[in-house]
Amino acid sequence: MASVVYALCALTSGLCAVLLWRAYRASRARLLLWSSLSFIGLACNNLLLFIDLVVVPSMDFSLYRSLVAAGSILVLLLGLIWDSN
Amino acid sequence: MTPAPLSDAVRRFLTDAVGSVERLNLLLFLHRYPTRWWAAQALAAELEMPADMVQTHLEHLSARNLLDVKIAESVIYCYKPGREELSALVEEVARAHYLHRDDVVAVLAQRLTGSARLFADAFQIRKGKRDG
Repeated sequence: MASVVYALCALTSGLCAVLLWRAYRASRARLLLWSSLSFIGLACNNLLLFIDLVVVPSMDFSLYRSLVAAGSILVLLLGLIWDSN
Repeated sequence: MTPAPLSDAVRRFLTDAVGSVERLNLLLFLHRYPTRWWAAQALAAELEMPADMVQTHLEHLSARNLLDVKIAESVIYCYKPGREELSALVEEVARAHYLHRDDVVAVLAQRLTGSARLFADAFQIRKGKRDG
């Protein structure tokens, strides 16, 4: 059951990234660019989670997963700060 | 149908370079005294705004090439757009602010909700007709 949830999280984040990118292409609003990049990172994070816990449970990817997640949030944070300026 | 009182250039300038009503008031105040140099403290007293906020707004406007900056006893600012187009835009904004103040304020207010609306609209998979 947990593996289904991990996979769905990755798919949902990926879908969000695609929708945000599509909206960015249409409007050229910077916030949407940063949000899209951030969701791409979150999708990668969820994919790594799936690989880590389901595909190759013998290996520990937690550090890489955390770094990708932190980077994604940082991108979104920088985008929000830049947009508010 | 009445024509839009604000040109696209003015709308873009308001949302991209000005961004808030407070900053607009500051810019128009400086524009009114184009030869006078101001310290943030003096402007804060004149406009009845907190000095640190005025300082932030002055830095924002300087970064957008709208003000000249000099270091005297403190950092002082003077209205001096770096390009002729910028000067013309500020003139147009000042005129619009005089004649259509509600519209100018509405553009700045919409900017605050604009990003949030774009973000929300991004998740509309089917772009259907919307009311309003």
